[in-house]
Amino acid sequence: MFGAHPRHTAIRAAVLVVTAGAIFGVVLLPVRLVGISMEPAYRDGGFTFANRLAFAWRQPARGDVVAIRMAGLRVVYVKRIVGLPGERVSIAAGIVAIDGRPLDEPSVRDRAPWSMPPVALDVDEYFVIGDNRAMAMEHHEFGRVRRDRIVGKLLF
Amino acid sequence: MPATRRLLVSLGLAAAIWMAWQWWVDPRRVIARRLDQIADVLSTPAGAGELERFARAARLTQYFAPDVHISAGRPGPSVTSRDALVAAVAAWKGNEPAGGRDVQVVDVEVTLESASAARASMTVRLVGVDPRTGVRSVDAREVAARLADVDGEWVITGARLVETLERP
Repeated sequence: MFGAHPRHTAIRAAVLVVTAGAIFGVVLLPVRLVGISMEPAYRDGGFTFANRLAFAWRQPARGDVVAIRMAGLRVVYVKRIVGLPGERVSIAAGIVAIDGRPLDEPSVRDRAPWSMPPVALDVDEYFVIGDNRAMAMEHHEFGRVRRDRIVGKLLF
Repeated sequence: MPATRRLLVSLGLAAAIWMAWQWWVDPRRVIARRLDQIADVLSTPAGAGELERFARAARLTQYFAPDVHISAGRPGPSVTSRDALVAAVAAWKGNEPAGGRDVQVVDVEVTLESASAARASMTVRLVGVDPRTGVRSVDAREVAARLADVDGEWVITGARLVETLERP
């Protein structure tokens, strides 16, 4: 059962456990998707991982789908970044504008006529929103988020 | 058993007993358990009758200070007394789906400010199931709470919803 060299088997098993623990405890955050706010890109009941080292060497960028922590990591928001620090974000007739210029969003399929006055982002703030703009705006969680709340970028 | 081994075993046993004692009486652990108990009271099993739902709401009095202040964030409502909170929860439970609702408190982080005061942050999950369709609904909110030790029991003196995503 343990092979011809049980000691080697035990060492390999221990290395596997430690490596898996490091990867899934530190680097990759498993995310089970609940809700429809990120459809069509991410569907209710889907499963993915957030790479917690994605922003170790660069800052979050527009278009990144990120995991955003609440009080901890067991429940996170999954949203797309549309606004970067220092920018002004507004929404008119369902179209997101950055500093007054309409934003091209290929991930958004249908749009309800959402409207939001300009919001100025601070130096450590991003604006996040879901891809499902067909749903009622009042049922959609979106808005400004501090950089320290963004825990990683979704892998797929 | 050699003396050294006896000493190591004794030290290990003492450490285990100390850790178990800390686990049980550490105020942070006690507060986390109290928050779990509140979640259990707020939960309602499927098919629970109206009497049981209101009885559960009444049990909340032991977990909150008489002058507790609960804020649901802007522009949400505020509750400024324990009696008002119990009445609000009783009304909320009266409108619950027949499939019941499970309330869970996760990611609890407790900070002791003194021997009798503490702060806690947590995520509250509400899971409900429609018994007719089997569709599961999940909602989650971040909550910040203040607690005080009153006559040996930790009670919530204030709580507010935290806007993780700050809507304009």
